[in-house]
Amino acid sequence: MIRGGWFRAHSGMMVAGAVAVVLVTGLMLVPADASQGDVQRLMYVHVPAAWVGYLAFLVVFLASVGYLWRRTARLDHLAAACAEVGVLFTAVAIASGSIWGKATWGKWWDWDPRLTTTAIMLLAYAAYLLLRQSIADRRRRARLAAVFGVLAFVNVPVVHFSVLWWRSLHQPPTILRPGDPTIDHLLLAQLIASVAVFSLAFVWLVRERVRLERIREAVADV
Amino acid sequence: MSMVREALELARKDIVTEIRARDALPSAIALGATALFVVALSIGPDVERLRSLAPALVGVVLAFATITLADRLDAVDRADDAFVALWLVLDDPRAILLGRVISLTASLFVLELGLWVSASLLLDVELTAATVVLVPVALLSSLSAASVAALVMTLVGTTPQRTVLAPTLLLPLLVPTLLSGVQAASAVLAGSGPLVLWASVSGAEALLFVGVGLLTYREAAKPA
Amino acid sequence: MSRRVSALGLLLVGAALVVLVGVGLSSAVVYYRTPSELLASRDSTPTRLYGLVVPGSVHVDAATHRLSFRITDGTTSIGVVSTALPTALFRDGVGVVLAGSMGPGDVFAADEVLVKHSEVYEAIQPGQTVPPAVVTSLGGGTP
Repeated sequence: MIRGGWFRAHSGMMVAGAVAVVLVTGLMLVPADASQGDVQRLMYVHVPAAWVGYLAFLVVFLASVGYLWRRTARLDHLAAACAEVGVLFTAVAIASGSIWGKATWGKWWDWDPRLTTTAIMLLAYAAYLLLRQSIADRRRRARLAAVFGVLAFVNVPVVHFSVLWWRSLHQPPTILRPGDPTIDHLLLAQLIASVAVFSLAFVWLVRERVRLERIREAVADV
Repeated sequence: MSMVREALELARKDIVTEIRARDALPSAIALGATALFVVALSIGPDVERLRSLAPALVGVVLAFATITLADRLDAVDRADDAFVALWLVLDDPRAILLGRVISLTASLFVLELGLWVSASLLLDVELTAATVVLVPVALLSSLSAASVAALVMTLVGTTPQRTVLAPTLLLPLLVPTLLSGVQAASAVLAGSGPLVLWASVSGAEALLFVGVGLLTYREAAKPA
Repeated sequence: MSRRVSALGLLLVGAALVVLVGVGLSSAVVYYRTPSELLASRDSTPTRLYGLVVPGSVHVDAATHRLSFRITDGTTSIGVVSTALPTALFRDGVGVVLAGSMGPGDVFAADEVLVKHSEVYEAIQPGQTVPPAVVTSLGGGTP
């Protein structure tokens, strides 16, 4: 077997290994935050999971627009895979954020713009998966899902602004802001490593999911 | 401009259908009456609280009416392959979407005005000269809800699980509509508050969904 | 005809975004009020209030489980009483968002005390410990 084949066959193990490494360094080796203590370590799961969730939903939108334009089955598979992975990671982000919120703010949930927007997104993309489930015809499913993939995404800024104007409790962004990040450099390095590894896991999961879908359709065609 | 004429004609058909069959609005009126009645009974003589709850109650009933009415009108179209016939006959099938938006807006608007009159009777909401502003606010939130619902119903209308899918797909998309409608009405009743801001959110949501609807309707509605 | 309708669709989507951004930029959004604003308005309806906990002002009545402290926005300070106990991060100088209303004697009665986390993260140094929770150390019991 050629080298590329070995690499590909073991890619899942390598991604799992990388996730294990960042979890061990983040949860055990890197120092805790000076004021929050160990609770802050949730950030190494929460932030990358939320990032992957948003990224996945953006790809659903782009792939949906692409599908309506070019009618490539591949783009439909990509949108479906990203929606599944996005829902999973967004659920992780909400759960970990909720635990962190209880420890720092003092409550599990607040109708804050970012929390509410994320929750509505989760609902909308769960609905997207439900819509896919209920249509048997392949081309029809792809077309309708693509339209809803666009709708779910254009709704996000309106939800965000309307809740933002309603109330807010979430702190301003730590890294994505002008000037020096207000985070210790070692903690920042850990955060960046977590985000990178979660992104890698995202790419791997989506690639495998698209491949699985292609095989499934090929088998169904036989 | 034949498309606009066709849309108006289809909207008229929808409204006549609903008036004759009385399929959807009576259940929304029943829910509205129950909601106002139960809240008035459970809160008792606390007039301030009753008044502050009124916009939220109207919002809940509006959401329910949007789902049932949009579902019902869509089901009527689907029966007897009427939809396919419409699709083939019209110059531009998007007239179907526009017609549905118009008829839904009109029905929801009338319902919402009725709810406000009932709220003034049962919840001590004072309707004065200043609260005339509730009329355009109600029109905007009806338009916003109608434009979201008309498009989503097009997507789920042909699926066997339409009764589950319709509310599931609609509710996340209706959030800005409901939030802005309730906040705008509260601002009118309180006599202060960011009314223009909330009216703009309703308006933006309506523009957005009519716009995306015009762009994607032929994909969403094409008969199998 | 068909193209013109599609162009209209794009135009409406664009108009929606312009309205949202325009409204967002032109409106001053208030998430909570500051002590100065609240005292000036003489408003006793339920509201949200933000301020920093004045160092040394925190007292816990162990018998009634009532927490009292002062918060400041730098110029004005307000006394606060609360029956709700905040999390362990509540300590001198921290920012808090209170939900409640102005009671008699210009004391704010809070139903909810939320510790607003700052966006600063610092690594803990060897030998350093996380500062103890003020409420616990004063004998008020854990929240």
